[in-house]
Amino acid sequence: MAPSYKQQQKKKARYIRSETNDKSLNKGSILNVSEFLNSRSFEINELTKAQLNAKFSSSTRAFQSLPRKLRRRTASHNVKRIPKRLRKRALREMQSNTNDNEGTGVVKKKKLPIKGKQIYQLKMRKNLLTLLTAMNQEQRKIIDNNQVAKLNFKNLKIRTRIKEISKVLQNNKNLMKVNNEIGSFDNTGLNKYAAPPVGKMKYYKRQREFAWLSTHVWHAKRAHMIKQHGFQIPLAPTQKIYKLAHRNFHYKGGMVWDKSYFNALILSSDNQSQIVEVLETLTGGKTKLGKRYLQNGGIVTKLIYGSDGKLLGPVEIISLHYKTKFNAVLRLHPSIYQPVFDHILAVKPESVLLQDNRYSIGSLEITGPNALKSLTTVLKPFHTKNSEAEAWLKLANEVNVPDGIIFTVQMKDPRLVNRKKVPKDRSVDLNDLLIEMKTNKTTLNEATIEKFVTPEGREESYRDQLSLKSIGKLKTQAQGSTPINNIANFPVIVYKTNNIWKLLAPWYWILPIWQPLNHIAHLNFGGVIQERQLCFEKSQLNYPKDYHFTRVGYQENEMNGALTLDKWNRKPKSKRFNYERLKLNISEKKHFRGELGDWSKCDWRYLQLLRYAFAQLAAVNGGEKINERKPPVVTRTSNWDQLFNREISQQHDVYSFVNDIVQFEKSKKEPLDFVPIELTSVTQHQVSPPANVDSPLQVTAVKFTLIGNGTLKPNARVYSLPDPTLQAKKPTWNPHQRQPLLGEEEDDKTQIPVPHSQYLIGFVTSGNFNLLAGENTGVGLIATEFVQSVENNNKTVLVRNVGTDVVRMAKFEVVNVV
Amino acid sequence: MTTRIKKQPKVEGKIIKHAPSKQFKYTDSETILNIQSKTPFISAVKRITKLLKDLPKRQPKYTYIIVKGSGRALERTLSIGIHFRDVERNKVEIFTKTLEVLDEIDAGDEDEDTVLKKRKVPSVELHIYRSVYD
Repeated sequence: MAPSYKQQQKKKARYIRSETNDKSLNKGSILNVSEFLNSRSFEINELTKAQLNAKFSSSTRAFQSLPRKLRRRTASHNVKRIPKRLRKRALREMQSNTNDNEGTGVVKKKKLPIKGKQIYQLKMRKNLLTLLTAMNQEQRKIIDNNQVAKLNFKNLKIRTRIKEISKVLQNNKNLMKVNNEIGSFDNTGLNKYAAPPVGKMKYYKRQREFAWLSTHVWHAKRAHMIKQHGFQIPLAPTQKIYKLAHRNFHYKGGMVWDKSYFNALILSSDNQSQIVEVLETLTGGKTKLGKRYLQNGGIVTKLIYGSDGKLLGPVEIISLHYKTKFNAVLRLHPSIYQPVFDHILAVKPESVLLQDNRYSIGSLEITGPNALKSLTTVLKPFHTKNSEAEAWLKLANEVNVPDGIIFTVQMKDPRLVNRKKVPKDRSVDLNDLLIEMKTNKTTLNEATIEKFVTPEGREESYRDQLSLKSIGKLKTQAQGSTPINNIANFPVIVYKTNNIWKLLAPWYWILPIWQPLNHIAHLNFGGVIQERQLCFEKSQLNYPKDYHFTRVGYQENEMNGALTLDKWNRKPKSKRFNYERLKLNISEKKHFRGELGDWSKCDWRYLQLLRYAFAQLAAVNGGEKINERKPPVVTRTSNWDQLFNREISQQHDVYSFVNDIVQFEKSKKEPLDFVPIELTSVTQHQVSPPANVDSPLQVTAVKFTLIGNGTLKPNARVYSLPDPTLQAKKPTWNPHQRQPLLGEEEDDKTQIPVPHSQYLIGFVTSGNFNLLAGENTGVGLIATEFVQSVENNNKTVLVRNVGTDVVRMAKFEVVNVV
Repeated sequence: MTTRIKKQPKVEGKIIKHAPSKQFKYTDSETILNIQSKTPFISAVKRITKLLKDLPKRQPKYTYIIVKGSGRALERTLSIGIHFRDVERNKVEIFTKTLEVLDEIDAGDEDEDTVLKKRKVPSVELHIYRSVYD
């Protein structure tokens, strides 16, 4: 019997090479010293190598030969989680493993405890599935999406279910013909919503409420998933990836995301002004769309507003035109897709066609120095002679490409192409090429755009799309030597914004791109958390996490707060920090104790009420702030006006007023029906504090950098400087030359005292040690009135993390939202 | 022959400066260091020392590492080179070059497209060899 794989490995490892035919000893009695030494050093090397080999040959297991990023969870124990080609070896290893609990080392087949009726049910269920999946295999027909949605299986017994389905199958009207063997089809809604994709019948029930991406099964094995906004979204890889992701973004390799859950819709018309009108109603008439963005290939990101005039979030608009048709492709976060779609449907003229492309256009995002190179190794142009294909190949290895570059190329099936790297072409001046691309739009192909934008074009792209089985057959026939001719090709839009390459393609072509892309060295996949990390490192706001001034962002903040609170509540009393006993400001401790607002979140309602109440108090006192050094004057108890509102005329009224409303809203146990903050531009006009209880606080997005020691955490409280003398004490800002820190001077060893709550101006939405900046940074929102009041060279605030009484000084800078 | 770089005429509007063309190779991350005008001197020296130390282990085919700097970082790059030549006693080769970069000129009018223009930047490249004493 031939020796097993492991036996071979062990034999190999134990074999030590030596130089038996020693040249140094051959010349009679004379010893050639240098040759003698060489042979000995060779033998010593071999000996040490053999020791290591022997060690590793017995300690490596089958699953360890896979790169870490492609390993699956629990792969070490479950043979089925290992790629098929390694399964035999893994099984053998499991069997020879004598360290398992039973000591037998035999992998037992689990016996299912099923009998009579259950066996019958399982058999029937199997029939049911084969009935449905056989359809697309043989006849190239699948059930219409809408028909599946109508089937209500809930209370039916299996026999009835099979009957129901065969009824549907008998009626030819309920069936759709597809042009390929794997059941891909273009699922677009024209002027209406498209029905969610059904997927394979076996997994139909699991994706009824939250649609699967085309890469769902791949992701589910390697990442944590969340169900949100009608999709199942990868949250983060199971592999620990924080530092690796940072390196991928900026220095080595790259990171890729499947962003198919980012929804697309397309507006098309013969008359461009009609599209512009629709788009400008979305932007609330606040921003005009310049011709720069409306020309063919123009890309822009704007903030959009709902039909009620409230800010919804950012949208990416790509203008793609062909022949006489003008098109605008809109990409939106799934949380705001429905209100935008409904709004457009209500305002658009009839001649404008609105496509719902949620389930018909997929997208990838890829960033890092290796981004474009990875894309060009996987995606090879179908028509190599076209100008856009030539530019694609010339630019293939480039790292630094300006934002706004766009390609529209017809690509080959990535599973069949020869995935060699594109060789460097030194004769090309890339700068000239980029200038030419920008001025002459040589990379925009109208035929490709038409195929991408129209439902018929996307449908056509699936023609003869092969299954993995057929690809395997073709590859064995070709035996790796002759190139495989396959007519399948599909349109791809690739463009770069915000230093991220984005790829749009028909929905069912994303998986064929995704699989080979993930085999490229140093390219890792990411999830939502990695996306947040990238934004944080660049000090940009991430939607919806940092967009607390939108409905969705506000809800996300509330939800995260509730989760933190729940986790805290489940701890034993002795193990949880008591935020209510926290002593902050000395002059305020008579009135209240504990953290300002809810400690688990950025408590915007609390801040808005507090700013309102202190403004009221200042108005009574003739515009003066409270003097903390003086003991508070209490001349009377609370007063109420005729409408039973508390009158604010003394300091203690403020706390009671805020507390009343907060407690009342808490007791209602319903979320607030409005967002208590609103984003405003600093340059617009002078902003004043909230005029009444229901008017939102005006805020501005800023980034913070700590001066000196300390850390910056999410939900940290931000204060304005209460004492002008503190500014004089501010260490001069030079990160590379360490100045004596605050409290380090000999004459003043005390820390900065916690400011009075009247100086509270905002919260940090995300803060951490920033690996890119090499120091603690954060982004957050602070009151616009404060930003307007400070001079440019004095942009300093005080920051205090939740649950602490240590105040740090931080520099802030206004950042652009979008 | 040296080519003199002409001073560019002043342009109206916002200028977005783009980095010079670069092709990514994994070995570059272990053999090339770019110096910026804001790179602290000692950090650069420490990083180069580390790259040199790791070179035989990571990239045994390479005998030197490349340190690049251009424009405002010329002076800093050269002073790093001098430091390695005179203080650390490494063999240092200095090459001068001219890089071509792209400037994107945004005149502020959103109806007009931005314009890409080429600009030449003086640049210097150091080859720092491993010290014979290591």
